[in-house]
Amino acid sequence: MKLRKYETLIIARPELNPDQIKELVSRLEQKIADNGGKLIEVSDWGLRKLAYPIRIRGEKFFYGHYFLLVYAGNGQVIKELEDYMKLIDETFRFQTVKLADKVEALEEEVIWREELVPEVRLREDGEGLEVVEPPRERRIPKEQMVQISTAPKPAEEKKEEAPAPEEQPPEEQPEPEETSASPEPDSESAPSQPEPEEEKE
Amino acid sequence: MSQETAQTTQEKKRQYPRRKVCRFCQEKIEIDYKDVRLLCGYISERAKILPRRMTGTCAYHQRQLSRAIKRARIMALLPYGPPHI
Repeated sequence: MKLRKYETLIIARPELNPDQIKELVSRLEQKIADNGGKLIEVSDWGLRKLAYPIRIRGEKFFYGHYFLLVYAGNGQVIKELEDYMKLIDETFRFQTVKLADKVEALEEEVIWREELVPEVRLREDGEGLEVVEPPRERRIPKEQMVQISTAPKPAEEKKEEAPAPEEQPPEEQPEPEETSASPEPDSESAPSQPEPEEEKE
Repeated sequence: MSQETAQTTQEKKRQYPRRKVCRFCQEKIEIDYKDVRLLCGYISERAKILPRRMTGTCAYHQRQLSRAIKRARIMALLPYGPPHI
């Protein structure tokens, strides 16, 4: 079987700990080996801030755990690997690129490297881009890394709870107040406007 | 200085700025979509791919560069545009 050299960059869930990542990689390695491929190198980029939030399966990700697999394989290996990653919950984006048409002599051991890749983001003042070196170890609260997008859930609740259409408006009103403080000044300003009009009359 | 240039422009049509040379051809750099530091020099403030006439990249490397930037965008290494709001 002719083997070619490929690399797959994978973004996994940000809240996975290093042991869970190792376990995930070993499962993917098994998947490659089952189809006649061979994992050559793993490069762990660690936790990185995504250039833009990725929304998938009702969740919004702001961070991701990146790792790169370099392996020898063929089309079958890639297909099985990618199909598996689509099924499991830990990975939410990946990209496979061919590196070479030939594979040099394969080593038994899988090389595990830890790499730091700078992050590019738009500066907060809006003036151009900046390159940031991410720290290797960083603790970010889970709420900042993943948000459960609430858009589909209230729609389901409304359908269940609303036999009468009159009940819908009062239910919708408290929801925005819980999420953000902005409606409060609006509600204060709204009654204040009619008052001066009454005085004029 | 300004007088000299004024004279030369009168005598010899126009002075062109120094011709830009393709950096990838000169330094023999391989373009890789994972090399974020390299790629971010070829996108604008609003994260658009810079045209060849601004960077001086040759046609061959501009094609490779644009492909690399698009791959990097898919993997959220580079932004598609400025953030919303």
